[in-house]
Amino acid sequence: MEIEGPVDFCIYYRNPEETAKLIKLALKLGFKTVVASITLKEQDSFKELTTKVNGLKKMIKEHNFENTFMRLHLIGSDISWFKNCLRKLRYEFHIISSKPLNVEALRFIARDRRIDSIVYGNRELAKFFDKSQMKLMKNTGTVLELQFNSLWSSTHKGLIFSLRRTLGLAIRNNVPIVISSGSSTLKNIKTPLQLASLLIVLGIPYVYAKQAICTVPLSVIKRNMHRLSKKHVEPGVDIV
Amino acid sequence: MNALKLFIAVLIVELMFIIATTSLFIFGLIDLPVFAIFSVLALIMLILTFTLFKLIKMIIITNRTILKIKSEKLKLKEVLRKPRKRYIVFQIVSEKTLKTEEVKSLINSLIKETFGLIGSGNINAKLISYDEHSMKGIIRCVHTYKDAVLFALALASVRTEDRINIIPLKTTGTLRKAREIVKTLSID
Repeated sequence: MEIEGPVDFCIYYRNPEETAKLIKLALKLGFKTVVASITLKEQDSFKELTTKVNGLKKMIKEHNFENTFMRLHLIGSDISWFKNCLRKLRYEFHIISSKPLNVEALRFIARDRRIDSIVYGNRELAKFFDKSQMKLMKNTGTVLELQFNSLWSSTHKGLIFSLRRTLGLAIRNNVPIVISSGSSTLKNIKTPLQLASLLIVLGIPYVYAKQAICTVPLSVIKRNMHRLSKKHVEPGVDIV
Repeated sequence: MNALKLFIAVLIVELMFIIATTSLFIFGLIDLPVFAIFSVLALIMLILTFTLFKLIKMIIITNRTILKIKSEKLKLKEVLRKPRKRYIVFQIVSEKTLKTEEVKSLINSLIKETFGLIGSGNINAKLISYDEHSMKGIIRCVHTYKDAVLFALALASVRTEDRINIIPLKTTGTLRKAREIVKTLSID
């Protein structure tokens, strides 16, 4: 099985039927790899998550989706909750992403190597995606993720400015950027070119936009596939 | 900068030469006519060096200006070039069937809201055709603003609160090919 781009890094899982339809449509629209995401909030229970995971696994198997991966999306503000989740669930999913709700959590997540991507979405935290945050993210190899649909949840005022500033900082500090659709229904799915157009409209060259939907998400998936394989012992140590 | 460094180095050498000949004359090691010849030579060399330095500096400035004018000419050429057209084939995903007028107003308002009066003027987007039955249509725009139109179309679902989604299927350069795509390509 060969993984190819473009990649839709986030399609939210609601129920098996709708997600299957969504993945099929995404593959038809030009995506070659899809990542189905399950959201876990602080108030959610692990039992609920287990049923969702089983449903998603069953759906992937039933429809024989080859290039579909599972991802856990953590939303919270408590650092100990994050630690607990990562300890229990890291090896259950291909990708772990997070959307922190306060600065402490944001800094903690940027330092943790188990988290693959930080979702840029909280407008109040926009000013904390600064140089030091980018340095932390660069050191741990964490990706900055923009979810197209969740960006425009409320008023657009100030969003473009803060987005451009954050993207500029990320590019200057060599932090990889990923754009995902963040779609949950057929009514808000996006094509690969529409995702790339977000960066192009913001004045970022086409090369970076292409990397954000192809190269970077693929490298994250491949890295995690290797980490989850039996050959991997710890960073830098592999069984040959 | 390099020309200036060279000029300073040559100047120092020439000044050393003048100081040496003057000191030799003071100590009586050379005669007045020899000293006079050496001094005149040194002066001529000094004037020549200065003139050469000025010339090199002028050549560098002229080259830079020519390059700047050339790049600006290229930019102007790109601006003045006749804008090529792009045809974006799209399909609408919606629960209720949309009429042509509704689609037209939706696309126009999306582009105007996103890029403003000047932006929408530059984009020059126009709904060429729309089939109410299959909910597929063609938008024409300027080739340099294709991404802007795609971005504006992506915001349709955001603006209508997930009621209407406009999915671009393909972009072509000719209307004939776009019409062929409308007939063949579909997301259903």
